[in-house]
Amino acid sequence: MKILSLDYEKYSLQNGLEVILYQDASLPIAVVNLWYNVGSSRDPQNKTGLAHLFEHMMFQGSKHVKKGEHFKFVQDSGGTLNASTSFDVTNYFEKIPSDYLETALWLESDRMGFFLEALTDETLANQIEVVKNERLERYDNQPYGLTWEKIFGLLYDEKHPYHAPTIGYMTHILSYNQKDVGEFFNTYYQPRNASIVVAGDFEAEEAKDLIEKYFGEINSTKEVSQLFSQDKELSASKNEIVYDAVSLEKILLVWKTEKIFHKNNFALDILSDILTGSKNGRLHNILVLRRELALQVSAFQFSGKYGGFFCVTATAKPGKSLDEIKKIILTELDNLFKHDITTEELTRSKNGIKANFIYGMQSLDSVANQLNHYNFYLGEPNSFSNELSLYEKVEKESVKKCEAYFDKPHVDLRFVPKDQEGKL
Amino acid sequence: MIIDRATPPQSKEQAVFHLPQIQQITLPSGLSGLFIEKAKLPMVQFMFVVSTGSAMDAVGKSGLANLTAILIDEGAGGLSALELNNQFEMLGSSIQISINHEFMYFTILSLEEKFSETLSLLGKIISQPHFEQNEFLREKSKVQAQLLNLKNEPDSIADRIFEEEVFGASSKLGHLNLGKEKDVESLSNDDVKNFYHSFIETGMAGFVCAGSLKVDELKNLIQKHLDNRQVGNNSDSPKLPIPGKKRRLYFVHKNNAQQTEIRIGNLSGRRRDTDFYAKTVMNTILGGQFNSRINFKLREKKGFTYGATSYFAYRKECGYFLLTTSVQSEHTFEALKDIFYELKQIKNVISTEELEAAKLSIIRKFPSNFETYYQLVSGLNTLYTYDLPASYFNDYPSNIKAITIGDALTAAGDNINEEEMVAVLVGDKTAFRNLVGEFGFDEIIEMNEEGERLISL
Repeated sequence: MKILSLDYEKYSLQNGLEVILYQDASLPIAVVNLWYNVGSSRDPQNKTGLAHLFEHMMFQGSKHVKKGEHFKFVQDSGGTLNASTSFDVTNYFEKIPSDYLETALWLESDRMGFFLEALTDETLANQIEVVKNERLERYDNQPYGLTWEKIFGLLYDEKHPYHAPTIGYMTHILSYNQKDVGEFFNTYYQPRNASIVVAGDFEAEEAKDLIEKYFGEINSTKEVSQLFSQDKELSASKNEIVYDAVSLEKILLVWKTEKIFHKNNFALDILSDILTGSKNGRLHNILVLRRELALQVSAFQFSGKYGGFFCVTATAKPGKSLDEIKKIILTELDNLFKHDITTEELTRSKNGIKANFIYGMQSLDSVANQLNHYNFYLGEPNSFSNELSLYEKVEKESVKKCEAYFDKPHVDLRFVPKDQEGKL
Repeated sequence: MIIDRATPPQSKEQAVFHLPQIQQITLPSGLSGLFIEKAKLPMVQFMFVVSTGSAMDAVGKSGLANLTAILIDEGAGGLSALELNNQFEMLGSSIQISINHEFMYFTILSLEEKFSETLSLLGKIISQPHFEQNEFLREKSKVQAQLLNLKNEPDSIADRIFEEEVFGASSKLGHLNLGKEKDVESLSNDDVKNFYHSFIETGMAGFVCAGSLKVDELKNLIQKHLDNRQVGNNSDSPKLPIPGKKRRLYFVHKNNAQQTEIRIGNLSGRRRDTDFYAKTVMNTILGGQFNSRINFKLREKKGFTYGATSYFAYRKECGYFLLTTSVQSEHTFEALKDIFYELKQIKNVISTEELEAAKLSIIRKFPSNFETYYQLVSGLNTLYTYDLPASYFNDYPSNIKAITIGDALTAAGDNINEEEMVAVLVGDKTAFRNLVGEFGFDEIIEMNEEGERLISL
C-alpha cells in the first residue's frame, strides 16, 4: 500500500549516530525524535529506576541550557515535547514549528554532549522528589496500581532485565547519587548508542548540515556492551493475591510467549482480538454479555527485546467468583484451539488492523516515533507495509498453533478488596 | 568548525500556514454542519452532535442520559448489538458514543471507501435503537460496578466533588454523568426509552466532519443515511449555576494516604466571552504549560508533586477556572500556601517577557492544532458547541497578539475569585488540619467518597 511506504533517508555520522530523515511538508511543523538504546533493562540491580530518573535529569539543564530552559525554548517556540522510558529504550521528542528545527537540534545535542557540566546535587535531589511523587501518584496510590510491578516480578527472575519496574523501587529511588547518574550518562548517552529521526517540513540538505553541525563533534567514548539475557520458562505456575484498596476483584492470567517481532506474535495479536477485541470477542461475549460475571475483560500480547507474554485480565462484577471466571477463560481458550476459528473472526481482526495502520499515519510525531521503533528493532525504518503484510498472512492454523504457549505454567495474579484479607 | 553553543539559534522566517477551508453545509431538511476536506489519507472522521446531555436528567434520575448513550448502540435497525458491532468491525470502522452535560456525540471513523456503509449503520443507531430489557439490565449493573470502583480513586473523587460543588446543587451542569448510586438503582428501561424519545429522537442536532471525500458526496450520503429524522427544537437550557458566596473547603479523609489530591477553582464566564483570549494568555503564564508559574514552583523548585496545572473549562453558557495537582501529604499545607500565593500574584504582576512568551507560544503552536482528522473535527465541534463565528480560527492569532498586560491582569482579577473559591482535598486529614485561620475559609465540610456531606465545622 502506497500510503504505508515512506520515502526516507538513513545514514550515520562518523561518531556512530544514526540519522533518519523523513520529509512531509503538509504542515509547517517538524519533529525531532531521539531514541537511546538504553532502558530500565540496564538498571543496576540495586539501583532500579535509574534509567527513568535519568530521563528526568535530561530536562534539568546542560552546559549551555540552564535548568528549565529546555522546556522554555520549546514552549516559547510553540512546540511540545516529552520523553519516555521503557524496558528497552528511552526516547525524547520535540514537535516544533518547522522554522525552529535548529533550536530543537541544538537542545538535544547539548544534553547529549554536555549534560554532565550542569549536573548538581540540587537538581538531582529535586528530581528524586518528583519521581517519588510520580511513583506515589501513578502506582502506590492508584487502585490496581501495582499490577505490572507484580506481573513482571512473578514472571521474570531477579536477574532478568524485566524483573523490576521501570519506575524503580522506592528505596532505590531515594538512593541515587551524582556518581550513579554520571556513570549512567557516560556509558549509555553516546551518539553511537542513539538514533535520531527528523520528520516534517524541512530541506534535506539543510537538515543534514544542522545535524552534522550540532551532533558531529560529540564523541562516542567507549563501546557499549551488549546485554545478553536468556528468558527461562516458568518451572511451575505461580499464584499471588494482593489485598488492595479496591472494590472489585480482578484477575490476571499470564503466559510467557515470544520476543518482539517474533513470527508468532502476529498470530498472538490476532488471537487477542478474537478473544476480547470487541463486543464480539469470545471472552467478552461469554463473560460480560452472556454470563454477566465480569465488568470488563481484555487480552493482549506484550513483547520486548528480552521477552514477551500473553495476558488475559478480567474485573469481576460484585459478588462474582474469580475462580469461575478463570475456568471459563481456560475453557474458551481450549475451545478455540481445539475447534474452528471462523473466517469472519479472522477477517474482522485483519480489517481492523489494516484500517488502524492507515489511521496511525495521521500525526507526524507518531510516524517519527514508529520510524525509530522499526529502525531499533528491525534495522529498517520503513517497515509499515512489511508489518501489515505479516498480519495479513496469518491463517487460522497459525493462531491455533499458539496453543503450545498456553499448555505451559502461567502466572495467576488477583486483586482482592483489603477488607477480605483473612476471610478467604 | 567551532560552534557557538552558548547563543541559542535564531529561528528562520516563520513558515506560512494556510488554514483549511471550513465549509458550512445546510441540507434541505434544515440539518446543518461544518466540513473540512482533507485529502492526505483516505479516511473520514464524522461526528453527529445531539444537543442533550446529563443536565437533562430529571431529579432522582441522575445517570439516565449516560445509560441511554451506552444502550443506544446495543441493537438497532433490526440488528442485534453483536451484529451491529460485527458490521462496524468488518468495515474496519469504529463508533464511539459519549455524553457530557449538554451534548451527546456519535463519532465514527472509517476509511473513505467504507464511509457510506458506516454512516448507514450510524443512521440505524440514531433513528432505530431497540432498547431491549436484557441489555438494559446488564449495562445498568455495569454502571453500578463502575460507581463502586470510583470510590477508590482519589483523583476521580476530587474531580467529582469539585464539579458538583462549584456548580452547586441547583444546577445539574456539574453532576456526575454516571449518576448517583441510588438514582441509577431506580432507573428503568422505560426511563431510557422516554429519554430517547424526548431528547434524542427529535432533539436539536448537527454534524461536523473532516475527510478525504468531496463536500457534495458528504451531503448526498448524509441525506441518504442520516437525514430522515425530524429536526426538533427542544433546546431547553439547563439551569445556570448561582455562584456560592462563600469560600469553601471540602475534604474527604483517606486514612494514611501518602498524597493529597488538590482541586481549587471557581465559576467563571462563557467560552464565547470576549475575555477568552486574555484568559488563555493569562492561564498559559499561571498553569497552562510545564514552565508555568505553578508547575515550576511546586514541581521543579519544591519537588512536592509530579505535576500541577490550571485551566478554564466550559459549559455552553458558563465555565469554571480550576487548578489541579496531587502533592505528598506532608507538604499539603506548604503547597496550598504556594498555590494561594500564585493565585493572588497573577492578579498583580505579569512581566512583559512572560506575556510575550505566552502569546508567541500560543500563536506558533496554532498550526499543529490542524494535523489529525480528529483534531479538525474537535476544532469544528468547538465552533458548533459554543456558537463561535465562522471567522474564529482566522482571527485567533491576531486576537491573541492583541492582548496586553492590562488585559491579562484584568482577566485574572475577573476570573479567579478568592471569595467564591471552592477547594477540594482528598487525603489524610491530619495533613491539612487547622486550615480555617490560615486560608480564610468560611466553611470546612467533610464529605464521603460519593460527595455527600458528613460534618460541617
